[in-house]
Order: sequence, then C-alpha cells, then structure tokens
Amino acid sequence: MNTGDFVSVNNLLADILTFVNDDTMRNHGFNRGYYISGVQKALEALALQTYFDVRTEDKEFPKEKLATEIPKGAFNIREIYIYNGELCKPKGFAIVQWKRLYNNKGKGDKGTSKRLDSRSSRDPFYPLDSTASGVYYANIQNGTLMFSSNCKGFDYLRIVYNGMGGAIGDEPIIPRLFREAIVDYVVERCFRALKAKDRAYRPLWSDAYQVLNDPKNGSWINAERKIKSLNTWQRDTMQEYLGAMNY
Amino acid sequence: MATYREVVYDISESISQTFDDKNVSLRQIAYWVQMTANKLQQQHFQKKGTSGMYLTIFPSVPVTIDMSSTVFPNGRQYVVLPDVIHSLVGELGIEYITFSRESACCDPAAFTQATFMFTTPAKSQSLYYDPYTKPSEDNPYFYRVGDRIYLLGLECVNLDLLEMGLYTPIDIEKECDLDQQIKLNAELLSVLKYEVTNLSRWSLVVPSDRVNEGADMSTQAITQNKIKIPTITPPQQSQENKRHQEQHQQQQ
Repeated sequence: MNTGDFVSVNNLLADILTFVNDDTMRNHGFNRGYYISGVQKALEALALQTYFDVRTEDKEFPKEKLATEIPKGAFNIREIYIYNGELCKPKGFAIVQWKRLYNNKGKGDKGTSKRLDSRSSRDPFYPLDSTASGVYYANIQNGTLMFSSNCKGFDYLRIVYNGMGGAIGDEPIIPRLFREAIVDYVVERCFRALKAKDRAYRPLWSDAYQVLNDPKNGSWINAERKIKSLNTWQRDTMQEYLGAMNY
Repeated sequence: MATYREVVYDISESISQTFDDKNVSLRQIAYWVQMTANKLQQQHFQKKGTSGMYLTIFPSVPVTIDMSSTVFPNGRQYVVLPDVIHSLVGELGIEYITFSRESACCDPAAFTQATFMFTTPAKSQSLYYDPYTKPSEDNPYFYRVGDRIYLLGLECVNLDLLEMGLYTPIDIEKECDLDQQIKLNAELLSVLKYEVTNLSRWSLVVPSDRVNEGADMSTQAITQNKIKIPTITPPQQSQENKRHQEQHQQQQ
C-alpha cells in the first residue's frame, strides 16, 4: 500500500500529549524535542521493518575515484543506474549490477581487486574464469559504493534506496497510515521512561505496551500489514498476469 | 470574588465573639487573610493544577545581559522576574515565556509560536545530545536562578522584550486596600475563614496560656504551661472554672 498523504509532527503531538497527560510539556520533565525525537525513532523503526521509505538520488558520476558514499540515511540499495543526458533526465542508461567482493578502495582503476575478471593468473579453484567487460557492476564497503572502470562512460548516477524515514534532526515526514502506530510508540516510550522515575507508572506502561505490540491487533503490526499489503491496482494487475498464463 | 473588607470584618466579628477583650486590628486580620490566601492558592495548584484566575501576563519584560558582573555569569541573556511567583515543582509558577515573531493574521497567535521550555543548568548539558532537544531559536529553553530567568538557545539572537505569564501570589506589601478583591476562588472562601480563625485562635490563646501567673505551682499547672493545640473551649474559661472549683473545695 502506498500513500502520498502525510501528517505533521504537531498533528501527532496533539494526541501524544493528551495520552501521556502532558499538554503543557511541563508535567513529566519531557520537552518538545524529546517527543519529536520519539516520533523520528518510530518512523525509523518502521522504515527498517517495512522498507516503506523508498528514495531516489541523482548525482554526477565520480569518474576519477569510481567511488561515492551511499546516500545519508540509506540502509538498503534497491537499484543503481548510470546514464548520460542531463542530471535527472536520463538519455541512454545502463543498470549497474552488484559484484561480490569487488573493491577499488576509492582510487579508481588503480586500487581494484575482485574475485573474477582480469587477474594476473588463472585461479585453480575456479573452473571457468569469465570476463565481465560488457557488464557494469559495483560493490559497497563501509558505506562506499565502488564502481567498475567501464562505468566511466556515463556522466550521471541514479541510486534508488530505502531510507530510514529522514535524517536525524530534520522535521519527520509521517505517512498518514502510520499515525496510530507512531502515536502509540511514543506514548509507550514516555511511560517506559516515567516507569524508571516512579513505579506507579508501570500499569500505564504495560497498557501502552500492549496497545502497541499486541501480536494480533496491535497498532504496530497493523501498520506493518498496511504497508506490506498490495494496492488494489497492483493486485488486479497481478491477477491479470497470472490469469493470462497458459498453465 | 469577595473584598478584603467583607472577609476581614466577618472574621473580626467571629474573633470578638470569643476574645472580646483582645484588641486585634483589621490590618492584622488582613495580613492573616493574605498569608492564608497565598497558602490556599499554592495548595490549589498542587491538588488541582494551575488556574488562569491567578495568571498575570507581563507583555514586555526587558531582556538583559551582564558583561562585567562579578556576582552573576556574564554573556548570558536573562530577564528579571517582574513579580514574585509561586514556587512550584518544575517552575510551574511560570506559565509561559514567549517572544513575538512576525506573523500574518491567519497564522497562529504570536505568543503560541515560540514557547520556552523549562530546564535546569545541570539538565541543559544533555539537551545538546539530541538534535531535536538541542536549544535553538526554534526550540528555546529557560532556567531560573533566584529572581532571574536565563535563556538558552538564543545566543545568536538579540532579543529586547519577552512576554511572560506568571502565577503571582498576593503581594502583602502592595495590597493594602480593604476594598480590593481577594484573588481566591469563591469556593475557597469558607476554607479561608476557617484557616484564619484557627490561626487567630492559635495566636491569641497560646501567649496567655504560657504566662506564669504564680497562681498554682503544682505539677499539674507546670504541665499546662506546655504549648497545646487549642481546643474549642477557650483555656481562659477553663482556668476560671478551675479556680472556682478550687475555691469551692477550700470553702468546704
């Protein structure tokens, strides 16, 4: 399921502050930043579990180093393309494949080592050495994306990746269908902190935990279900494809 | 709301019923009323939360900065509290502090756009650990040191004036007009009268009870000289009764 409908942090705070009885943000010693930080953490946890946050970054291809840092907040690369034309307007592109153990140490052609292709001698453990001259490939190590030398023929790079719901410190952008889960996540987090100050908060924390994490109808599992379910559009198309197959 | 005159005369009347030979001035009773009203206000905050009834807004409190003080920290923006405030946990005596921002007529009210959060000097350090709690122009804080309120997060902004909403108790030095209204909820007036009457009874009874008249040096009399919680029966009367009883016994 996808959404283009987003809600503001203040919109969530209106609920959260009521649920934890802190309308003035003076009752428990938590300030506004603490609550927003909770919202961002909830969004991050959802992004890591559901991969909902798909982002695209276009940039110039690093022809000299043949390496670039993966975008901030990215934890999963989905697709990489290299293209010519103008930035953000591809005109003739190629798909970049992943190559295991490829490493150029960010030093262009000179620092390259890889498991297959262009070694100085044949490897007796590999029955078939193959060349990959027509294939564009890359690998990631320590947050650095390293490309094969034949990618030099392209001017721009497009990376499609899963983000973690925005950079830490930015105002979180919250998909509307996550509203309930995020509110419950922050409420649970607040009561967890209050529990450490005063044991009288334990029953409240326990209730909040249950509302959030109930395996059947908790708001968190519901949010996961929502984001992982197919759109009607996608489902119908899938059925058409499957229906047309000649078994 | 009732005026001081109404309450003070009422209490004065009640006191004179019991202590007709005592000379208690209206000023004295008014002082007791103010003192007790402040205590009731404080209890009201603690039990039922703050109330706008006791809120006073100071729209233009000047922001100052010390540059060469030997007593206070220099280079920190602060305001001096424009009035005495109720001392409550988390400085709840300060309802809000804000500063005006340029806003169009359809924007939220200016005073709601930038509200200072409460902190303490020690807690301030951990605020910088998280980008969301870090003090800044959009996320300013305040902490109190005596009658000064220091501002955090506005180090690069020059502010002239702040708006403050404070919960102020009755200023005993300033309020001396009997026709002024008492800043107290109507439902608390009966408690006020009870408390002041109790206070007056305590004040009037105890001194006389502690006087050593030399009438009786027995062990029982010495024990009586200890401070006691006043009872409904005035001790003077009981002493007279005792003397009558003793005279009666001697005659027999």
